[in-house]
Amino acid sequence: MNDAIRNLLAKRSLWQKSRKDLSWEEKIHMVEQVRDEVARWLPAYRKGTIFPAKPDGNRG
Amino acid sequence: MQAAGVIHDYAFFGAIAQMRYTEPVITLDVDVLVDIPSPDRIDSLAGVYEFCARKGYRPEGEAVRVGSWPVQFLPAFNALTREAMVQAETCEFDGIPSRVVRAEYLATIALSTGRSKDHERILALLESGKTSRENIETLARRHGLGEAWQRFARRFLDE
Repeated sequence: MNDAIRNLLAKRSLWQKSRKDLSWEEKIHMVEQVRDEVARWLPAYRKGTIFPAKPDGNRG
Repeated sequence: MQAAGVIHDYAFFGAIAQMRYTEPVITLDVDVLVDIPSPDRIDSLAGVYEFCARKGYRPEGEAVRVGSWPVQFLPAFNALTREAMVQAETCEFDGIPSRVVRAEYLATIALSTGRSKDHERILALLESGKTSRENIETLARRHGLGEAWQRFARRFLDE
């Protein structure tokens, strides 16, 4: 198994846990992941290349 | 940093500490209360920044970048924050013993700050069951925050 798949599986197992069952470390790592994911997707979101806005400006 | 004599004591507080007791909350930085040798100096954190620089951690705005986290060091600024640091719990983070401010102190510091997100923090800490109204009230009264607590309780807990 390569590192990318191992990381993906680790992330998936963390996100599938109930938030109440997470340890302090796991909660902090989860927040770290959310922050990193947002940073990764935000430029494309701002450019409108993902979730492009509808004519009314709404992306929902 | 403690062993090198740059700080006497430290404890995590803010959202990172809160997560020890509540569900995860989004935060951009890590807040660390520190007890430094000369807190009254205008450049009181110079020693901390110099120590971090020697270890390769560079300043970034008001923080120091450690790995992927901006870490903000705040000298304990009153009796409440000094006591919060002394009474902090020691727990492990990724195998490293770390000091973390206790739930009732986090709530009382939040009460003293009084922003909307601080009110939300107090409610989350109460809901977690890791502290109680009585604990926070006792601490708040001891630190001159009795009235602030009454206002908070009337607005958020008694209605």
